[in-house]
Amino acid sequence: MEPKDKYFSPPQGLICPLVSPLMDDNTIDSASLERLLEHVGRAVDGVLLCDAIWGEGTVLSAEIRFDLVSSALEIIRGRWPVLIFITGKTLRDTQLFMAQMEELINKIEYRGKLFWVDYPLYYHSNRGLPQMYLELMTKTEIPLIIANLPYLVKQQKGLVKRGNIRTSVLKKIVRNTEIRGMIFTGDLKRSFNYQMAARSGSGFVFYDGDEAVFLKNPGMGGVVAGGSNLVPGKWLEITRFSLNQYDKKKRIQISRPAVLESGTMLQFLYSLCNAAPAVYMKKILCKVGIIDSSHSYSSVESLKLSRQEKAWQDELKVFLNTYDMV
Amino acid sequence: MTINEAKKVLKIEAEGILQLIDRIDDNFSHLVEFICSSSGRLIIAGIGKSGLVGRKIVATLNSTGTRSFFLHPVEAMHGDLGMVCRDDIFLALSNSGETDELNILMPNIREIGCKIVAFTGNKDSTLAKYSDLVIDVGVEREACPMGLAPTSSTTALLAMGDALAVVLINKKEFKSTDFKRFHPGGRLGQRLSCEVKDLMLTGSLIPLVSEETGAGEAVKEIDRFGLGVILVVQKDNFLAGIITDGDIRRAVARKKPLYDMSVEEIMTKNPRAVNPDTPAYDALNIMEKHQITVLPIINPIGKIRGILHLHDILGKGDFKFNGT
Repeated sequence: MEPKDKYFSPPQGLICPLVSPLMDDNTIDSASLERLLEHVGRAVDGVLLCDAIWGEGTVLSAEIRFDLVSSALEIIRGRWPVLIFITGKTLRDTQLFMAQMEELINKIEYRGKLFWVDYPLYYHSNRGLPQMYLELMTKTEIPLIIANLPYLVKQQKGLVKRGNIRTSVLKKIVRNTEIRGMIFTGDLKRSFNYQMAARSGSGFVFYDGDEAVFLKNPGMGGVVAGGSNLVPGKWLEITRFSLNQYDKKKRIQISRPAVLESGTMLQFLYSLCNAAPAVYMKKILCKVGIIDSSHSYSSVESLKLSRQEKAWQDELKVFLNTYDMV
Repeated sequence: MTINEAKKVLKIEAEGILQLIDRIDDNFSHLVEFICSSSGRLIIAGIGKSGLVGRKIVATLNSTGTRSFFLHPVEAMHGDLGMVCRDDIFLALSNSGETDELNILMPNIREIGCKIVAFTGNKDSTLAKYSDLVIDVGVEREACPMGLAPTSSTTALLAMGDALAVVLINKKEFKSTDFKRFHPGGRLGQRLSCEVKDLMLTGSLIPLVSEETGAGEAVKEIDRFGLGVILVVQKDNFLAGIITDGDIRRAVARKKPLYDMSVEEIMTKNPRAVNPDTPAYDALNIMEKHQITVLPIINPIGKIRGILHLHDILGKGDFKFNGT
């Protein structure tokens, strides 16, 4: 693990929230995981393990998440920055998982950039959040990226009132220099308020948590894009272009038509997976041969209806044929 | 008599251009800065002979890497003004600066918000007053004995346009390779305007071995295909790596018997690869930049679709453009 210091900034650009390849008995499929990581790793700027949505992080047990992270770190060997989703159902679960992971990381003497990713409102209210992070960060050597995902919080019916981190609370949170970025989902006005609130945090990075929004109105820090599980190269192209990283190489005029075409493809892919990201992405990855099984912890009601399933399969066929992935 | 008259005209026109040398000022540098920092296009407008000169300047600018187009002022009045964007630079050509068809557009161009530059011989004209920058292209006299037909003035205008294009070439570090890209008429140009899928080797011509193959077998395959490389594939035809002659040399230098090694031990993992829709020009750039002669071609998810050798781009390989 690289030493923690205030200049250790999180990766900017494309972050891939990796799907969690499982075998039919709900254990980690290491061979598929290795294939997926090698497929994704050559293009992305960072990999997010056990993500709440794409990686089924909120439904997988702590044991499976632990297995997944340990196997992935062994494969990655410090080649790419790694973000690890640590959120549990309660603060205690979160602390426990973080402690277990940290012990493993120290044990294997992992050398490479690591960041925790936490969705605080999933288990905690806005009240006392800055103080909670002050205490949490004293227990770890690894910097943290927080996430605002109201959609996920709403799934925890009745437990919390608010789906979004309050701007005034964020302002206090970013004073903690161990918190280095935010995965943001929400409207433009909130995004603006958050950016204003985080101005004091030097090097604080905002990632777009919603890839569909990024495709229309890209942010400045990067994107967490589930579509990059399948087509990391295309997503890298879009991200570089959107963050203006091609400007320096004076390649904008050459790349523009290709980028427009890639954007259309990624929108199509997003529409294919949107209803149940992890489930549908696994089905596609399995179909093209990147992972061996599409087994998933999450379930999709619509898939039980054979007519909808058939319509989806037809759409997938069109997608795969159009973009030469058969 | 006739020859003397012709010589006189040429002398007057040459003097007209020479006079511009003393009058060129900081406004010209500002114009170059405007163009270099703008994300829009350079729009040139003029009518009559200025319009004809404008079209030639547009052609020169486009072929030397500055995006530009000609806007006819009358067509602009009838709807073509919609082509003008805020990020563009509007260059108006008029020796007198009082051309009605041009000046009538100026309030609208101002409203759009793009920068206005005038190439004019009259710095106090209406056109000059509307402009953010004025470049003086005035001449003392026309070569026409009656002083009516634009002769020296249009020559001066043309020369100033060339001066702008050449300064931009240097400023933008435009190279001969870029020039080729905009002139695909030549044989190499034709090849470079193709996409990789038009040039790559496919099917049984792709040198392939699986990950389980021994290094000795791989060497035989490299020799059989004659490309100096072999691609290593995983299950379902995913590209795992590449073995080049260099990899073999390095493996031999390790002093371990080559025939005891597997391809996995000697291959370069995750090699540079491009997809079939990549322009051949970009593929050539990658080869030049990384000093490599072969590129694997993969689809968006990493399955092998072909292989491209430098010779296939240059026309020395299996692919022949237009049957040549």
